[in-house]
Amino acid sequence: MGNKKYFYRNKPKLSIALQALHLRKTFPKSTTELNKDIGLVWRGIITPTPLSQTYSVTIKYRLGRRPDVTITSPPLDTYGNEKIPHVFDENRLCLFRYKYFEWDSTMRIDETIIPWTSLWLFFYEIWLATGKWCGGGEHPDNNKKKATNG
Amino acid sequence: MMPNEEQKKQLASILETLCEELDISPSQYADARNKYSAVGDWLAEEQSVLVQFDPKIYPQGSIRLGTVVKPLGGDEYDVDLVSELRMPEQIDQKVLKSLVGYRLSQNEKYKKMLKEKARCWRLNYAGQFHMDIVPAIPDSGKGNGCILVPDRNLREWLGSNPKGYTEWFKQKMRTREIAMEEARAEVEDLPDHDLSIRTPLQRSVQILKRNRDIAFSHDKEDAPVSIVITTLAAQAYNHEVDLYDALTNIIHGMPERIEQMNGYPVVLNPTNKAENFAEKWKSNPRSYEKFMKWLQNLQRGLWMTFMERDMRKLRDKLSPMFGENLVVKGLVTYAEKIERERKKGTLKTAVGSGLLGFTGTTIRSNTFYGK
Repeated sequence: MGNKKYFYRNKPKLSIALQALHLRKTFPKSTTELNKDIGLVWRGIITPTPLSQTYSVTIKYRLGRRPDVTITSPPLDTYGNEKIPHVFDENRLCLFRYKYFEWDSTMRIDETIIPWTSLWLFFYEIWLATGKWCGGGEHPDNNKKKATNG
Repeated sequence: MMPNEEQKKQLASILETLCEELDISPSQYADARNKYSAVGDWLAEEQSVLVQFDPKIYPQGSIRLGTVVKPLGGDEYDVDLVSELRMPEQIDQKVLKSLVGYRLSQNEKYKKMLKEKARCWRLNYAGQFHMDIVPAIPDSGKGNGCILVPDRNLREWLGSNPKGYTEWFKQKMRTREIAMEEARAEVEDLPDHDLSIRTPLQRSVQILKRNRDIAFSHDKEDAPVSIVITTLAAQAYNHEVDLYDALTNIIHGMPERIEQMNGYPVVLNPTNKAENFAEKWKSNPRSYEKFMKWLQNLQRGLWMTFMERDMRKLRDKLSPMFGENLVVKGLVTYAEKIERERKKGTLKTAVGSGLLGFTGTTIRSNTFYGK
């Protein structure tokens, strides 16, 4: 993990314009707006697996900040009274940890944030169907890696 | 709504996972084999009353064919065995059965587990298996693995040929196996994955049997018999590699394989045309009607799974067909497989759609966070 720190310093940050370019190329059916105040706003449709639902996703990004990922439709559901795993504020997805150098602004959103969103949506649907979160991850209160089995 | 290829494949993967939950694991199978070998050793020991008849023990039925499904609501698998003794046909069926039972009960351990059934002896390995041991003699007139087993009343001989039937079944499932091996080599290399590769025909039979168990759970008397299901499925199977295609084509093709004899529907043993597996249909015509209805319902049920998209809706469509606990457990296992693929770095998302699969951009390591 120490190596990643040095590597990060040597790679250039991707400008918002470049991020937009990659997003448009990889997801031609989506829309990408560049806004002076908000930054980049990406709106796209994701279907995680062939038998899954289709979701409308919005990603807002300003250079240097954590990309803000929300599911705009359909509204997120719950499994009984349990809260949805791995979200901020009810519907903003938490997809990575800076602590593990999983993401920084040198990385392409289309290659990281969006695939992780798709993955999250798959595990979310399975959680709704079974009550079990199978995608691993951590919670702020216990800081221990959750076992993915059992 | 017509399913596309990817949807069929995904459903096939999920059905495959359900079968894995129902199947006997390699370690359980090895355990069963050790246990019945031990029984065989006991029957063949020097001091055994049977030793002069050169006793042989071997499996028959689903354990031999690779189509085992865990019984509904039970913990124990059914393991069917033949205890073949070299005796002439003149021997009385009751005597044959008694001899085997006598030798088994001479063993203290087996005596405690022993239960007499109409034409076999059951050894109950609590929490693991029921071993049903059917005594048999060779059918010297026919040879080739043909045997004679006592009927339920222990008055007549019935012809059987478990070894011959197995060979026939394995022939039916073998075609295109090579193509299947190649397809599997890409996907199935998970370290803790099951080692025994089941063919689409075996999986289809397991799915049919499980659905039969659920559909007839309150009507066991009229439930289709496994050997009828297995035989018709093997005859209807047409080398399909994809499980969904195999299953739907089999269900569609099974009714056409039923023959007519003297005005009755019959399913003849392909290795012994004198034997009709579907005797029940003759004595109870209603059970034949129920059989046909059952296939139609299953066909429709499978088709309906594609009507809507959502894992919850899939669960709701599959649960009445295969049992809710199994389906929920199966979906979890399926998701865990995907998670393992991701950890290995083999999971990708497709360009343009974000679809998870094995083509596109490799998904990099991440840790979901937040409450």
